[in-house]
Amino acid sequence: MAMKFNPQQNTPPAAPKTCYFCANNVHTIDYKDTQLLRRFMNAHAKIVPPRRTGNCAKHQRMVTRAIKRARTMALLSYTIK
Amino acid sequence: MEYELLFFTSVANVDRAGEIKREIDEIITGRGGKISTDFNDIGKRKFAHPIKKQTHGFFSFCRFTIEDAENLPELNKRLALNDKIMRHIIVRADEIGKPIGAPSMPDARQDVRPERPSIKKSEPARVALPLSGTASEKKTAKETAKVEMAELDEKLDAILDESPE
Repeated sequence: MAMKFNPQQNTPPAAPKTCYFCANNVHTIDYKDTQLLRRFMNAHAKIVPPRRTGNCAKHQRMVTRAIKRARTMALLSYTIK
Repeated sequence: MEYELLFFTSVANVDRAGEIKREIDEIITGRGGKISTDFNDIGKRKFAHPIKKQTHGFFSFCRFTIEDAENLPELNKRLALNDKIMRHIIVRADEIGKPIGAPSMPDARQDVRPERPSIKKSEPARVALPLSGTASEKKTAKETAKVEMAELDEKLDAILDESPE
């Protein structure tokens, strides 16, 4: 019997429609604010793609830059096993 | 242009923090810069990953203005050559925003872990059913075991804090 196409398996998890930083009128992201940056990392301390967080391109760039700065200063970890 | 400098030293150099700050001040003023805010001490903090086989460091940051941005590479080099400063970073202040007081940064150990749901006692509705009741009991037992591990971790950290290497 032919496999039935399941649309649920291929649909990405629903992302919030608005960018968190745009909604809260945030223009700068501090790399020392680890609690905020943790929200945009997954359990393995990877940077979560914007299709999951809903971030706009501009703010996603700011988040990644801040996370990478925090990692070099040992404020955030590169990986969690 | 205003910049922010964040640096950390090894725990062994905590007593000499004032001396290190004076040295940094000299390095910055020597390159035509001027420290605009006092040093904000974040204090002793656990690293998110070990650096030079050390687990803790003393963090501090300040803001400074420097007119000629061409002096920054030289400034960076001078700071890197100072062996009391383990690591430092200079970032343009307008990228960070308003200067804040010593930020309430939790220990790295806490914020690098994924958030755990708060432990709840088995719900009464579930206990009413014998099968799901045992399942929830098992779950709570597992969670208490996790909590014990967390307590152990904290105790271990406390011991490490008491005797800095």
